[in-house]
Amino acid sequence: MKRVLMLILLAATIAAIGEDRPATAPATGPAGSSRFTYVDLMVDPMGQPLAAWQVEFAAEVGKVTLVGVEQGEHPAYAKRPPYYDPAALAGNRIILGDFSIDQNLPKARTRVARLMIEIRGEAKPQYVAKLMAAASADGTKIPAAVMIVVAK
Amino acid sequence: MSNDDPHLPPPLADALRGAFAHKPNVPARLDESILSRALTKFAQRRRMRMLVRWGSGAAAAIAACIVLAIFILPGPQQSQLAQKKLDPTRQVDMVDAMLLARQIQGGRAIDRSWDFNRDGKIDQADVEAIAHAAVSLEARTIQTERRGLPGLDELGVKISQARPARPRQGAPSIAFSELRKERPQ
Repeated sequence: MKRVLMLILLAATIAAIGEDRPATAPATGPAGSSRFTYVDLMVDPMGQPLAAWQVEFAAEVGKVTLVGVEQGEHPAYAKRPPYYDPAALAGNRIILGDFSIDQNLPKARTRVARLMIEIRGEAKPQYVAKLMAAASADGTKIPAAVMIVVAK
Repeated sequence: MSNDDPHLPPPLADALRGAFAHKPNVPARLDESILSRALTKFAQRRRMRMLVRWGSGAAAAIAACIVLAIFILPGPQQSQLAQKKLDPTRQVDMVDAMLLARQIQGGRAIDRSWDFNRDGKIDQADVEAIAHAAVSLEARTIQTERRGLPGLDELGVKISQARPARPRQGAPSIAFSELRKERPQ
C-alpha cells in the first residue's frame, strides 16, 4: 500500500514539474529569441529639392527596440546620421530629422535614414512613419511622401 | 598717239577734243535728290552707331546692377528670416534649423530671438540646439501636456475679471472666521 502511495506521489510530483516547465520555457525557447534587422526610411520630395525633413517613426506591433541610426544615401544626407533623441532608443518611437545647406539636394525618392532594430519574439512588427516637416532650400513647405522599406 | 602728235590732222584733233570735253547735263533736282539721300543714309548710320554705343553701355550697366544685387542684397528668404522672429511658444522643427544654418552661412544679421540657447550669440550651437529640440521626445511630451491644460488666456478668461471662489458650506474661509472674531461678545 505504501508503495502504491509513493508511486502516486512521485507521479503527481513529476506531473507538477512537467506543467511548470512551459511557463519558464519562453526565456530560452523560440518566443524569447531576438533578431536584428534594419528599416529604411525613404522620402520622396516629388521633384522639389529636399533641404530639410522630419519624420516620426514607431513600431506599433511587436517588441521592438531601436539600437542605432545610420545616415541617408544622398551626398547631402550621407555626411552624418540624422538628428534624433537618444532617449528614443529605449522605446519603439523616435523622431528623426535632418537638413542640408548643400547646393546639390535630392529631388527624387531617397533613403534619408536607416534604423537598426532588435525584434524580440515571433510577432511580426508593424511600422508607421509620419512626415512632420519637409521643406525646400528657401524654407517653403513641400509636399513629400514618406515610405518604409523593411529589410528582407 | 598723243595730243601733241604732230601728224594728227587738225580736224580730227578738234573732233576728238569736242567729244571728250563734253560736259554732261545733270539736272539740279537730280543732284539735290542724290545729295539728300546720301545725307539721310549718313544720318542713319550715325544714329545706328550712337544706338549701339549707348545700348552696349546701358546693357553693361544693367548687368553690373544685377550682379551687385545678387551679391550684396539679401535673398528673399534671408531677408524674411532676418526680420522674422522665432516664436518661443511654437515647437521648432528641422526647417527652422535649416533656415538658421543658411542665414549664418550667408553672414546676415539675424533677429535676437534666434538665440535659442540663450548664450548671447547666434551661431552653429543655436542650429544644433534647434535641431535637437525638434527631435526631442521630451519637449513634445511637455508641449502635449501643456496643450491638455489650456491657460486662462486660451479660455478667454481675464485675470482682472476672475472672481474668487465661494467658500463651500461647512468650510468657512479665513475672512469669515476673522469677521466672527471681530464681532463684539
